[in-house]
Amino acid sequence: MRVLVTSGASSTAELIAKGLSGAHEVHSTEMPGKSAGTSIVGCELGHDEETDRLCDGVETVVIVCEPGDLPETEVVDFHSRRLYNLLTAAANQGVKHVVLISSLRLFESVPDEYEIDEHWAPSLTPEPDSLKYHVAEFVCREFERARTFPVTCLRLGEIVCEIPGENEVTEAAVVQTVLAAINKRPGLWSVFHVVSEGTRFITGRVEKALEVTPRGDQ
Amino acid sequence: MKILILGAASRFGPHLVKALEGDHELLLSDIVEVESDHPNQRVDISSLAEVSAAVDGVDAVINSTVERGDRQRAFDVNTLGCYNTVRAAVDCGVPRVINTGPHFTIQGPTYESYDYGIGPDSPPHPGVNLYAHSKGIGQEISRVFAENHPIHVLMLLFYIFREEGDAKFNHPHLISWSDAAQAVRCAVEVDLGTMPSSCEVFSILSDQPHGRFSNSKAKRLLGWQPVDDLSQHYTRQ
Repeated sequence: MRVLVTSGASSTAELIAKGLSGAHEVHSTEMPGKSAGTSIVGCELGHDEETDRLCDGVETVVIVCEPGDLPETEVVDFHSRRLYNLLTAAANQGVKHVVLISSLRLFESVPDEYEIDEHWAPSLTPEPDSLKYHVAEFVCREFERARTFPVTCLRLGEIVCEIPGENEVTEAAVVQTVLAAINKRPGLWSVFHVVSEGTRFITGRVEKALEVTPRGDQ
Repeated sequence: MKILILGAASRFGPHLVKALEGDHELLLSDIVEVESDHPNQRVDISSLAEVSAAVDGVDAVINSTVERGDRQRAFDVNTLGCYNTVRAAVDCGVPRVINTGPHFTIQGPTYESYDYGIGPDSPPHPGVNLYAHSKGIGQEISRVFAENHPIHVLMLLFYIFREEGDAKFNHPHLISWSDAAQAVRCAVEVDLGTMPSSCEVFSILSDQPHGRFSNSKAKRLLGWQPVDDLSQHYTRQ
């Protein structure tokens, strides 16, 4: 299956692209300035044929929300206008499924004593590093609601290499979960919380629906 | 009250000025020159620096900017414009921001294609239409700011502007320019302490028998009452 991964130069995108490459034909894209000298396809995600071509023949788009250090207004622009352009191109090119890599930072201001699952509303703050995930979810959700394609939203804990702490997720669990989301394609707008450690976030839904074990074999 | 009107050269701008002048000090702005006797300046709403400079020192901001067609400009005006407005209002201590937009900023196709009695407090479903979508994100960002900072954002939703005597248009979301401007005036003057939350949305339409949308919240909380009779648009001749 041909898969497109965005924010290709970010560590998260590199992890996912490498993890998928054994099972899928993976292409990564990134803003032109950051893709120079790599195999990553540079694209502004503008309203043009370049963005259409990016999605040509692609079955699944994995959206990583890490465009790098940008001024706050460009962070908003990236996750609204550029993402809208990409999803419009994806719709035009017949993309079948979108996987959004979101974050459990959306719950940072929820008091620590609560046990949070996917039924909880995000507790939003206007800081760009949190707001960007909310805006990206908003954009993707409306495309799914328009029945353009199903969107699987994976809200990840902070990614770590090996031993996870509270509310963290291992790199292996991230790859395992993204692979499962692509292969199982759960349908409609599906949200999953993914951590490898801790009791704040419940992971029963992702374990059941995607048949993954982000906490290992505990 | 000193009020900044962003988008004063829009079709709605002159009606806002007429409704507010005399009782308020108006500062008009737009990306193009505004022809008016009131103080005015060019402001590109997609520039945080320009919006911040314009907002400084006012008591309220009315955002009546709009862009429907070009995709870059639609997001610049409808999404970034809202971000810049609330961000500047927070930074400058302006307590009241009034956003304006079409009803499908909130009540998009997944409501209006199915439901009746649609109120303004529904979760936003703008859909993927460029105008609705870019406005919807802008309003959502405004809500997040209002929930985290000491400002109020009042969002007024309009759709079809018609006057008595205009060509007949039987639509469930009609309003006259004058009644719409009076609703904004109510939003400018209402005691913010009476608002249930720091971000409230109001459907602004005439009293209509269709039953698809409801204006009752605007009447109840803003003390607004539409006066123009638009019944010719939905009455048999």
